[in-house]
Amino acid sequence: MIGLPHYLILSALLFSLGLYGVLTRRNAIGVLMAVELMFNSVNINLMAFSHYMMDTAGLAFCIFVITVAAAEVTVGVALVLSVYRNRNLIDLDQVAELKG
Amino acid sequence: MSEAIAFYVLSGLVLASAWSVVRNENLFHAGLSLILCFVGVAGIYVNLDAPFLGAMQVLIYAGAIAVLLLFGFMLTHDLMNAKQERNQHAAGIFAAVLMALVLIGTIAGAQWYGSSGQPVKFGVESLARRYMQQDLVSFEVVALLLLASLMGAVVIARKEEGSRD
Repeated sequence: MIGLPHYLILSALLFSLGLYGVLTRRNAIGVLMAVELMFNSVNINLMAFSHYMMDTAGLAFCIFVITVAAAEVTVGVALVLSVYRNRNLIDLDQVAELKG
Repeated sequence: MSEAIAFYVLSGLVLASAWSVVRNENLFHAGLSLILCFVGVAGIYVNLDAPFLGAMQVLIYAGAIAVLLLFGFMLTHDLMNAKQERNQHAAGIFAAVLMALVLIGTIAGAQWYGSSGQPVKFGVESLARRYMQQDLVSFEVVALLLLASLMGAVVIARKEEGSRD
């Protein structure tokens, strides 16, 4: 029998994989992909609670998260393209002008 | 029973493709695995009685966001030479394993109560009622956010007059 904890553990594992990707990828597009994994794990979490609490709040939040993720990726890819065009680099470690 | 089989198959698919997303040396292949992962998560939503959310997941994530990321990748890389190096390997593994242990420990240690209400089908109608009544302000704010990010992306990504290319 599948219960709420099964979905929560799947979501925790997916979140940890995304965290690992964010920390180890050097490429800006790779980091954005890993951030999308983390968004998806949060959505699974929200939807699992929504299903087992029998409430539509989680579903509504899920759609909000998907919308904000779409906006985030649009601006993120535009920033990456802008940095690439002006400085011809994509490696996040080299984009460090603002470092104190 | 069929729900359990679907859950385990989809979980395996999602986790395996997510592993490929973060570990694959070729970032283009990682992007293709990302699409597979999104489709698997859509299956999880259908398993949770939310077919509308599954459809949105396929349309927006697998159809738009993953393709946008792949285009961003192709505009900034030579596809035939897409090997990626990585850094902070030990720190990344440490942080991810610690995060997984803390989350799973908390989930396993908590006491979960089921709701005794009537099962709801998460269809479009219940969602529309919610968006047009309780969450109307948030709904409008999100519409504004989409417009702002659309305009912001165009302004950031366009070529400026007199730039060197």
